[in-house]
Amino acid sequence: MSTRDLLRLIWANLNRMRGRVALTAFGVVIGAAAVLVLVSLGAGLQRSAISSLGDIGELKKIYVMPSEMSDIPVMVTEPGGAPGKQGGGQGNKPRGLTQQRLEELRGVPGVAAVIPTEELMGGVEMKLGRAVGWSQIMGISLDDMAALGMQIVQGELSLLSGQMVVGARVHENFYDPIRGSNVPISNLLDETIILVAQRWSETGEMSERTLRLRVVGVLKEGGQSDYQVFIPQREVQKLNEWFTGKRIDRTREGYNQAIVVAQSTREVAAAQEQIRALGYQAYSAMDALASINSFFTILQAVLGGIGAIALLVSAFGIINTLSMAILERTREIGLMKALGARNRDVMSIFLGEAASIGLLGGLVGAGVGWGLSRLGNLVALSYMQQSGGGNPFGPADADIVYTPLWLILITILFATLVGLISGIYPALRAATLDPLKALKYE
Amino acid sequence: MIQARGLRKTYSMGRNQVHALAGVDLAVAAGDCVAVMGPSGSGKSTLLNVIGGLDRPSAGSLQVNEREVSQLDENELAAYRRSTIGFIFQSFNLVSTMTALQNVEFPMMFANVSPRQRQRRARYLLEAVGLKARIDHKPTELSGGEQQRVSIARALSNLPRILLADEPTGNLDSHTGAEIMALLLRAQRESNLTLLIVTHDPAVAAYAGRIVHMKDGLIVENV
Ligand SMILES: Nc1ncnc2c1ncn2[C@@H]1O[C@H](COP(=O)(O)OP(=O)(O)OP(=O)(O)O)[C@@H](O)[C@H]1O
Ligand SMILES: [Mg+2]
Repeated sequence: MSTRDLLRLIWANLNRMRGRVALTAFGVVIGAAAVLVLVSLGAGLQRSAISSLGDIGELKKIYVMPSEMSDIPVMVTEPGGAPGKQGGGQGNKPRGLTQQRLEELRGVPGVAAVIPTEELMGGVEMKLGRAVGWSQIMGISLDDMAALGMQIVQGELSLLSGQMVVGARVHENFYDPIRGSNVPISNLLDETIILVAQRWSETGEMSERTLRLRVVGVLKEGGQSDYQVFIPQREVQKLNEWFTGKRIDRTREGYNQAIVVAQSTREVAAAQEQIRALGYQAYSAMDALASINSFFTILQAVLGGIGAIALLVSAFGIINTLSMAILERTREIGLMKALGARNRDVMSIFLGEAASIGLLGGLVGAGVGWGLSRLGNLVALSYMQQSGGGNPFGPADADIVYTPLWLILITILFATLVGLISGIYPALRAATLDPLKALKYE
Repeated sequence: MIQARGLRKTYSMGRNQVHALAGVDLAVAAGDCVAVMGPSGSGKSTLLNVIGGLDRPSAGSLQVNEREVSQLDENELAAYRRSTIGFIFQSFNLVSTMTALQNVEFPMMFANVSPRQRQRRARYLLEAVGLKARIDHKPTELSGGEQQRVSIARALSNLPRILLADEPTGNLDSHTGAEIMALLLRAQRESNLTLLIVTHDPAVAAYAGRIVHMKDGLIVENV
């Protein structure tokens, strides 16, 4: 029997019991839609969680700090001390990331760049007109910004004295200090922002120091830098000296933090491992990525399993419908055999009918599931807008439910497979009917 | 063509055994037309079904075209039914959802005949049995005689060597029965087929060149 004839015969048979086929396929529709929606939900949450980690550039970064617990065993020639003496840590030995240690980090395989960063050691407000804003203020050099792969969408990448570069979402964080309400600012480019550093003396007196900086560039959105403000490293150092009342000599003391940029995301895990082995603290978004991925793989398996149960139930519907069809068509099966049909032909016809019911249910179910996912996103979006909060798992505009193409295909395939497997028992029964008994069946 | 020796078919009904065929010896030459008669329950249908490969004998030998039919496996038996045998039933056994044309095409599907060739042959056969105007009718839209004509066309579709007809006129009036018999004999003569007809009707049996009488699973008279 040719495949074309087989398909035609299957189609005709399904058509003649279309009422029952529709009802049976409806069970599959529910199962397939459930699988699609639930796994889409898992995939959407996973995507949101991953995108909240930032873009690829962010995933290549390893944040390195000196170990809190023990001193880093680096050979240091101390004044008055024996060369090569390890440990100690009496305060005279610097704990920070000195040039020597930065070089050590640069020597780790897979590392593309090591960028020491200067973080502020006290509170600093940003003032723009009457509006007040807060942001993480980072001291950095122009070269290092480029090495970090920072991209400008407005203005230029420049960090001369008196200039600053802001993250893509910094403009959202300005408030009216009296009313407490958000001050909408459309664009910070070319605005002059005044940084106000505050310090309390031991007697409780407050003193202020201001710094005027012009915004020359706005960074591309995506990742950690969205809410950060970048100013020349020297400016941060000066503010820190003012905060602490001490002169800071980074060449001697070293930095408190450095960003290590890996050559590629594949290098991150190994490089991070080695940096830790050298005795530093090292964190990266890849840590989170691995645990996010393993968590969501389990979540999707559980959600998919729940949907699969619905699909499993529909399998009994298919078995039932086919068993009834076989009873009704017993004489016809006998006839086919008398006319010379092989057991394999009879088997293929009933298997094909079962698989077609699965396929039909899978196609409609995938469509329904996709529609429900879209609807779910709309509802979630309007709910989030009402409650004022964003997507708690990621960017505010991202979908909660995400249906990748492979999921649609897998769902349809899976439903077809469920149909096919459900058909095995009835089809075997039909194929092995005794032709004579079948012909005499009333 | 057909050579049966000591052919037996025994049904076990609990502790009782029914000998539907109790040792049949029969030889039919190619191109013969044989009528099988006998009282109800004498084993006529059983003999026909065993010869047609629908049923397996319990003992004895059955050779068709020098091949031992009782030794064939499931697939070989299907091929045997498909290519060597054409069945005609008392109750027609047409597929009710298919048109006359589709019913005649049906066996050719299992023989992998191409759709074009299939249609051509089915049209030709339906025309030959006088149903040119009924090609697209479903069985429920046909009279008994017309249905039996469709089933004769169907039996001829795969160019069989042997036609087996179990009371082909049993559901028809005598006039229509005579028409069907004439048709069967014409087909038999035109293609030099071997024809076995089971019947209770002496008038039908009179068409055959040879009459075999059965009783209690045995051939008692071979004229
Ligand atoms: N499947 C079966 N199981 C048990 N006994 C059977 C079976 N089929 C036939 N028989 C018995 O075998 C015997 C022969 O049956 P068969 O159908 O061949 O008779 P027949 O000559 O064709 O009768 P009729 O003229 O009524 O059609 C009968 O006694 C019948 O009861
Ligand atoms: Mg009979």
